[in-house]
Amino acid sequence: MTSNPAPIITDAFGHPRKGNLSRNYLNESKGILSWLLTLDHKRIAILYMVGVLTSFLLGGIFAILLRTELIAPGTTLPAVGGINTTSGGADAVWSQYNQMFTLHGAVMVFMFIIPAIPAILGNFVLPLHLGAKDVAFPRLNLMSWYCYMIGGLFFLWTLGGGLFVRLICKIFGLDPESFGQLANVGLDTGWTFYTPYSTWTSSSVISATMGAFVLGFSSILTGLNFIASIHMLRRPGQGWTKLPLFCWGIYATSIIQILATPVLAITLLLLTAERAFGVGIFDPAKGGDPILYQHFFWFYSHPAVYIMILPGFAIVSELIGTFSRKHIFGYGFIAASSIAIAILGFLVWGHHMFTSGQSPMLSAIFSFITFSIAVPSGIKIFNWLATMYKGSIRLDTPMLYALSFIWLFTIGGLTGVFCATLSVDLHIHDTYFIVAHFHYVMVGSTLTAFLGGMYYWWPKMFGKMYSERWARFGCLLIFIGFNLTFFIQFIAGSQGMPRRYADYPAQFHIHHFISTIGSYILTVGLFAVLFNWIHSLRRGAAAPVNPWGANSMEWQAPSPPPTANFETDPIVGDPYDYSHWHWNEEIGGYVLEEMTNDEIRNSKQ
Amino acid sequence: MSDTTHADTHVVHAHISPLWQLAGILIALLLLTVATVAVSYANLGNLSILVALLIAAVKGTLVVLYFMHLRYDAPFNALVFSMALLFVALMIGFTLIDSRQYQPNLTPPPAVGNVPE
Amino acid sequence: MNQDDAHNPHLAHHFDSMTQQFESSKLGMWLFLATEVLMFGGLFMAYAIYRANNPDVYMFAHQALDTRLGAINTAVLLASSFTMAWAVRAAQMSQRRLIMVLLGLTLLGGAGFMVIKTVEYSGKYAHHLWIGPVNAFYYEAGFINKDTTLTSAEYYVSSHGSPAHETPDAAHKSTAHETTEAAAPSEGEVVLDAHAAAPAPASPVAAGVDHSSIQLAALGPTGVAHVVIAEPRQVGVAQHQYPKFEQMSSNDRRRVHLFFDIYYLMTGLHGLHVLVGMAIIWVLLHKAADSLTRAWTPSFALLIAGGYFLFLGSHLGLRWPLVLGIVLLLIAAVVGFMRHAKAAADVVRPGAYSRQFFDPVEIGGLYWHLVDLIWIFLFPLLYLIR
Repeated sequence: MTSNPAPIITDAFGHPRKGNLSRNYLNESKGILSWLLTLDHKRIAILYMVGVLTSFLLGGIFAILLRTELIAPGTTLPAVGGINTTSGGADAVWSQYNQMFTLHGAVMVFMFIIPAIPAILGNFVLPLHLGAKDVAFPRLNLMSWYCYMIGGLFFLWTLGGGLFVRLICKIFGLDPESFGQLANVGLDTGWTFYTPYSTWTSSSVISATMGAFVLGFSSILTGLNFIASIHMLRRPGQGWTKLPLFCWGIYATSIIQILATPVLAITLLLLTAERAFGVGIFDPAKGGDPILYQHFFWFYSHPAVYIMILPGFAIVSELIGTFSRKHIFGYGFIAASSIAIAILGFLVWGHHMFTSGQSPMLSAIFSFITFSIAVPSGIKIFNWLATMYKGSIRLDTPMLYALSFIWLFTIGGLTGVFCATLSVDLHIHDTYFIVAHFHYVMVGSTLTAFLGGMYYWWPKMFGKMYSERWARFGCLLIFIGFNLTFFIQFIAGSQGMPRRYADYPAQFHIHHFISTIGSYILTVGLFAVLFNWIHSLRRGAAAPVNPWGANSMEWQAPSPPPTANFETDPIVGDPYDYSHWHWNEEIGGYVLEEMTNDEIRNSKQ
Repeated sequence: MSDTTHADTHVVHAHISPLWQLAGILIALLLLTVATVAVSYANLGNLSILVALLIAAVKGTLVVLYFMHLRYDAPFNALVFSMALLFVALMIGFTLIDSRQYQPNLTPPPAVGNVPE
Repeated sequence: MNQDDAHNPHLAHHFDSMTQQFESSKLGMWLFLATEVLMFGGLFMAYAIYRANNPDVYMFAHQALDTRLGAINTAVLLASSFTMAWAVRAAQMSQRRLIMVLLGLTLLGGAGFMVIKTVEYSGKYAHHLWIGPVNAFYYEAGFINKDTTLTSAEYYVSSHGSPAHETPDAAHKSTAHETTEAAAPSEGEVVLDAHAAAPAPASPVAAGVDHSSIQLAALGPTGVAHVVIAEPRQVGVAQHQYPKFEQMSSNDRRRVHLFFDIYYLMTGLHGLHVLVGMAIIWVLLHKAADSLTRAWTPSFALLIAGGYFLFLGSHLGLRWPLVLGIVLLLIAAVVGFMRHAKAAADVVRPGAYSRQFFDPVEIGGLYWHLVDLIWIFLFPLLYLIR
């Protein structure tokens, strides 16, 4: 497609577009305020993209630092002054390592994976999928972005606020102790903030919990918006069975966001109260119950895992159908399995607590329900495979990501069954096996799906095509780098390498060495993607209305869409019926065949 | 939407609660409040929390159905609300089962000092 | 789709009809209420876990709460919920003046609730029953707070808020209260507890020493441990069979302060919601008012705030809230007259809500009712523990 020198700007039917062709949502109005005060879901998606990708860079830097620390036994990185003021030498390095993995986890989970797909792609695509002008509550949508940014500021304070306070103290000759917890630096609790350590540690826990609290609001508002939009803003004639599976996945995600995130909010509030007011609900020294904290935390955080993966399923369902040029197999099953995962996901939180001394009966129940989640997940995998079977598969970049998603998610999912098995989990709990498992699911699957989705909707978002060759190269590097980084961790973990350790015996040197090298390759791959995108923005060829021949409604809108999304009312049809789109070499994209009014009317019913 | 045929079409036709109904609900709620306080003086033992919760549930239902118009509202809104209650129940239920099982296994706390005997 | 809706200025561009917009905003609010329910659900969970494991703690500590004030507050909130529901009806029927009156009453109801809450909080604060370490029962690593505050707090707990001295019908029970009758219910309580509490030494210790609740069960109906009115602090007043601090197991004693933590977190978060709800209702009132009345709505808010501070100052005997209250009232008057003069010079415009457009009143009302709903559960769970 990029080979085509100058595609003609047409509408979905291949007619040259009338009116002002250069006007779209990106240049509708100018100036920084027109972005900061925008109510347009597409612009908010772009705002989110900037924030989320910056967080990803931040979390990635921590990841690279901690992998570098682990490249060899003993201390590797020098300790940065100021992070640990109480001790020097190796202790300072270990303390710094604790901060690295905590901040890596917290930033990646709360600021990257959870908002990535719903807030960027969901915001951009979902109203288009519904043929709507916007989400149901545009103001709340903007507010959710501000919540995200305020949460990000809290996290920034966690990173450096205490250093700032200490600097001020040094200048004015004040005692940092008098600032209490404001002078605390960094975060070393692990992203889970487990009590009682998180109530005692002298790192900056309150700012981090308040950050996650505000980010939770961002997540809630996004989910609320999507559910209301899907219920209320579908086009006339677009029944529930004509929703693209992306909407179903986002819908399931939103259910979890609505029902689970408030529990995180109250958990973090209670933890804040522990530190700020000396409340002792979770602190055994005060008669409190630390296991209760784990129940609180995982009631949110296990469903949150599905907040991360369900949108991945959602994207892959779109990609597999489109690039196999074949109607998606088992539409109803894929849709229903998303909802089933969302509901079942609430009833498995105890599998994070098998070694906590939790009731054996409850452990058995949680273990059993966890196994049962494999069923809807498996249904999805088999439906995707069945869709590809005898399809005419095109290996464009989004499809490559989709295929790599299936591969990586299968590994991540199947190793999840090991973790769900009570007896096995006692052995592998808190080892690198777990680390590898959830990275396969969160990074291998969600990140891959996210990148696939970005490549898929990139032409629609920015109206530019990208270099297919470099995109594929980036995908390949990511796939290789990822597997190199994390597959070896299964082996290290099953041999007993505990997670979150800054040092290890020499027998694990080779595992960690390979893993670190893999993480460097992964980084190069991700930067290849970034440069690919930047190059596309600057030099990319203009994108046609429908470069992939997909039939969901966003491909009837111009690329990029105008602020009101559609120039003419889009035709509602089966989103997986690709038969009306035909390749047009001249345009460099697919063109919708003209339909008679009768046909349009029929397709609306 | 049935209102398209109506003459006054740009008006939302929502349920308007009659005043006697709202007032009746208020009186019922106040009576139930008196009842729950009165019942608490009867020595019902373990039953007292059940009775108290039952009365609270009745009061809550009245508020939700009539003050919040859920009885006349879209069924999905009722579903949303009951799902929320269901998940609260699941969360508390599971955790209660668990805490009652591990509590006896906890190491006994140090004796409380500094208490006037 | 509805062409006539295009005329309604309140219709947002991405909705097709007013009904679609109304239904959407209601759905959005219900989803938000679901998140509120789950958020409070977390606190109810903490409450339930500690109550199930340490029932004696709740029995003992809840005495510090004043049932009468709690019941009055319930009535206040219920009444304000009623005026809110009525305000929605008034909006639906375009009774513009009535909407203002009812929203104003609702706002006053919320303010009344906060005033009573202040009375409750300040009473406990004065007796060292505050949150966290500022609590006489505060326990950390083997030690409970200072003796002096503990004695006064303990006296406060076991003499105050005990509902028996408020109703006459309970008083005549007091004679039969001491042993047999009263033991039966608390035995049931204890059986429940026997699964949860740590095993206690089998031999009964003399009354007044470290009794676990299991020992109470063993003592049965004639148990010495049940002598509650050991030193009658209020003559002629019956007491419920509540455990005394000295008689509780050490496991229970170290968790007494947790009851207060949970109490303050639950009522505090609820109080925060009341404040947010009041802000919402004030905005509704401001929009519902015609342009002349709207000149006075900021003054109304300042009036409520000023009145609150005047009350606070007189209740606590502090000077700064009195000064602040007077300043606020003065500002209210000045702002009111200035705005009034400006509005009077202009054409009178009607308020925003009528049967053409009442969505915000309905939505704000839903929020206010939820605040009420949560209190409906908080009241018996915190104040009426038996």
